[in-house]
Amino acid sequence: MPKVLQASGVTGKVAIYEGTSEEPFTTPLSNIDKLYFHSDLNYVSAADKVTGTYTIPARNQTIVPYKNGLWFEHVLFPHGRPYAPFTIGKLINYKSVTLPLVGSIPLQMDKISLDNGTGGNAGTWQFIALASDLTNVVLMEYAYNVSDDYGTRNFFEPITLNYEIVVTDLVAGTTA
Amino acid sequence: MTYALDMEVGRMTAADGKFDTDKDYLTMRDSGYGIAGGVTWFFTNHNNHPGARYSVNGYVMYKQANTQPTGNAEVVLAEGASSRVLPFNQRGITIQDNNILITRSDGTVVLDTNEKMFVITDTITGNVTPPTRSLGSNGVQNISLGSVTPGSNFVIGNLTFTHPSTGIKKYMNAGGTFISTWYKNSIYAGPSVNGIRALTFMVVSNQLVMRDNYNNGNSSGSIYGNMVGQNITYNIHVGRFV
Repeated sequence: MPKVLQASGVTGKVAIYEGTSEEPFTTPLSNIDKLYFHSDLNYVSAADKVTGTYTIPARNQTIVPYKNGLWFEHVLFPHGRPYAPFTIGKLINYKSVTLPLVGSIPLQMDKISLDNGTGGNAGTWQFIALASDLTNVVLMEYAYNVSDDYGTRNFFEPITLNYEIVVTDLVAGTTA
Repeated sequence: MTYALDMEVGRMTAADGKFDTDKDYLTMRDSGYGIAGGVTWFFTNHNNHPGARYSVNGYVMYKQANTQPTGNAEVVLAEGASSRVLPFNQRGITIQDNNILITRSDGTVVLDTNEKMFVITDTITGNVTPPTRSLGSNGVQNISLGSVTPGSNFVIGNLTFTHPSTGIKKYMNAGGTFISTWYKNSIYAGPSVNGIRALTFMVVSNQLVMRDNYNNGNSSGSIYGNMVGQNITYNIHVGRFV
């Protein structure tokens, strides 16, 4: 199929598509599988990129009681907008991997809870998720303790995260 | 003066300014940031000891159990076009083989139609409450939230989470899988968790769904009975790389 670059000097629209029909130019969403580019599409852009380092402190049973899970908020930076922006991001060189910040990301699990019994194991886990509010870009941490019901042993040691966050041009929310 | 279509070194505006390379459009690149096209967590459905596995971009953590789940997430990386800089002999405006390449005078790319950029095709908002799951039940249910443009399967946007301590809303990145429940449902000692609920906004058969993957473990000496769903407000953009 031929690849076509088409532009209109009247409307200013530009498209690159394949095929001999002009339909991808006139109705792009209905022919999106044929498009390489169309100026009428709703592209998402990066407004700001912020890099930094953040350390999540240690957790033990005096902070997260036995058979309990708690949420903690970690402010990465103020975004300077009157609304909560949509953000994407990654952790750099976390355990030798570049880790995209999508969904709930498990950072640590308590090694002491590892066993190979039929009951499964490793229930003491620490998760993070990328979020924003009307003021800041944050990491939300959820820590669950099913290891220790006494003592001050750290089941999660302090962990330092190197992050890169992109604040996009999309509005995520407007209420606090 | 505003032109319907303007091309110059360092910039292209088109469609009366709707497209403007002064915006740094998200472009598919291996060095970028994650946009998910489905689940990032995988589970087994054992009735009391589910296995759990997180796998994204080579990073894997799993919960040992009777059997191990398998799977790898579909996550595409994207970043602003301007993070790429071309050498001197490739700078300016190039139209060749029906592609457009525009850089600033310093070589910073503002548009390369040979690269794929992320496009939103559908936006779906609303709220949903996952069903209550009885003690001992487990499974997967796709809860339909609306139709999307065929071929679009990447999800960005937000779900609203209210911090239980402060009551302040957090707008959480809605790509990938969220662990909304993670607990031990037994009064007895032991390191396992067996109450797990994982929610994923994803596209199945041209429908945006919230996939509810749940396991409400039926332990001896259960602490909880039903697994109650919490209402979730969502603002989801579904799209694809064009």
